[in-house]
Amino acid sequence: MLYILETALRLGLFYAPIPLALFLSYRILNIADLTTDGSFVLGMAVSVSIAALGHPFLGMLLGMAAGALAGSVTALLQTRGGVPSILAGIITNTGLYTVNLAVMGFSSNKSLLKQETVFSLLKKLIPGEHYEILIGLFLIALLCLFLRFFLSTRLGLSLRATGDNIAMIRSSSVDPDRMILIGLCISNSFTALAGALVAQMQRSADINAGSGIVTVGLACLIIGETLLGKRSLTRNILAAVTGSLFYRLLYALILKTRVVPVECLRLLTAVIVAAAIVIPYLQEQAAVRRRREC
Amino acid sequence: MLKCEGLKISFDKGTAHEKTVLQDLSFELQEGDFVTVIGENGSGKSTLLNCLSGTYLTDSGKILLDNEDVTLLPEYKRARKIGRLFQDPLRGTAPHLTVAENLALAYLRAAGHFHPFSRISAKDRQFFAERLKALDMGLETRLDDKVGQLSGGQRQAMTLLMATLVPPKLLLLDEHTAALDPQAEEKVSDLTRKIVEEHHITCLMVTHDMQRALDTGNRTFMMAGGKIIFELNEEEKKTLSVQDLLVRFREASGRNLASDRILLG
Repeated sequence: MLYILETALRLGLFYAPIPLALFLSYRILNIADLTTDGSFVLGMAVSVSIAALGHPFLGMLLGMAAGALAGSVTALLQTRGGVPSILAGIITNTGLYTVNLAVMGFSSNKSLLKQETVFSLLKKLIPGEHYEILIGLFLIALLCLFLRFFLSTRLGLSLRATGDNIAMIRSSSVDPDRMILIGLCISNSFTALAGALVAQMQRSADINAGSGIVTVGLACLIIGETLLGKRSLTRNILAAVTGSLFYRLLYALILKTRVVPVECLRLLTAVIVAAAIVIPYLQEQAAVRRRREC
Repeated sequence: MLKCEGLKISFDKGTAHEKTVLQDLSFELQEGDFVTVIGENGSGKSTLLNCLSGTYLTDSGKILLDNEDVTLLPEYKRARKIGRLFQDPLRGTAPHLTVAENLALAYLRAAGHFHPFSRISAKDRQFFAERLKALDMGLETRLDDKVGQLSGGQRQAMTLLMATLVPPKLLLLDEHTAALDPQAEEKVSDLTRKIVEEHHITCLMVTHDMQRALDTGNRTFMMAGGKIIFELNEEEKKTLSVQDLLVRFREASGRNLASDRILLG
């Protein structure tokens, strides 16, 4: 049981940058960013490839930078190229498949054998066996603090207003295109960071590891918001992390107890996300129908 | 101050529905002019404001603001010099941000001397509270409330404050009191007059209330068919009645004013 909790905590932390990224793109900017799947694998591929050359830390940083680059492609496609935002993400994602293969030397997976990883190096500095969890905690705390600080700066305010009322932001002399570019760069660098972390932890990157990760991330976000509510910015940010931890706990418990066959987990995730969006909408519709009947 | 030469714009170009909304429109405003704009639905009043603010780019013609050619400048860049209010009080504020956060954004217009990573300081908040107090709507105690919780009148008053927090070169008002209840309408109209006079802002105000159009400002444009068909100066505004305006309209256009939405006062 303790082992399950530990695994859930570790994975929950390492995957937490994804719901944080989606909080930024989906909740704040109001853009469903489908680049997510591809930038997760991009983060993995870059991180493992650079670590294989003997630079695990550089791999993390370059992984994030590559994610930001992928985000900027999606942002520019929609702001400068007139591509609808969902399609822009799909196009980038499709292109990233080839890019990711190329980064891994045109192989569908790449493993680290005896090379050092961020974890194997830090293990020497951090006593005890929970070093992975400590690293995860530290990194996620850093990301949360950054997001909280950033979103209350003037740049962050402009970003939030872009998703809230784009007409108003234009008349406040802010270029909304630039805000979308900045937002998607940050969110995709977060997603890539999750990929980079997970890849070095499991010592491998796989071209298919990202499939459906955007839905999982949204499920985490929605679960967290249900648990914590979304009354303030701080709460919203903590909700994304809490959701990630809770989702991985659920995942681990299902793996262990097999109440639901593991193969069905994706379907369950999809149902959670769809239901979380559909139910409030149906409630609204039902209220209108009741009023009509009166 | 503002000079428009031969503005022309049409929509649905190249289709059977092509409609020319502004035709060869020219006028000039002096510093401090407060112009009220009246006309029937579809006469091009709102389109004129949209062209001035940069929401639409004109097909031809020239717009000079403060001796700078802004004809092709994107909306967000013009916003540094142009403030704007719409009929819909929800359009000018971000509902999920607080009163203070909205004002901080409006303050960005003050040009780029803000560091992008700077935050709202205690001094900013004090300044916002002072300015909100001048609105006399009790908003100074609600700095941390989400704007979505305010009434339409409060939101429109806030939008007015945001548009003039840093006095713009040109203020565009597009029937900005039309969607408010009578009490709020009165209040926001008074505030508008007060703020415009205090900061000596050059202003174009579209209204469908003919009496208000005569009572407000120092010039009045009557628009029809995408043109200014006649203009009233300060003297004429003082002496003319709404009935006289209708006679002038018939003389200039050869038909009666369609008064479906226009208030004859």
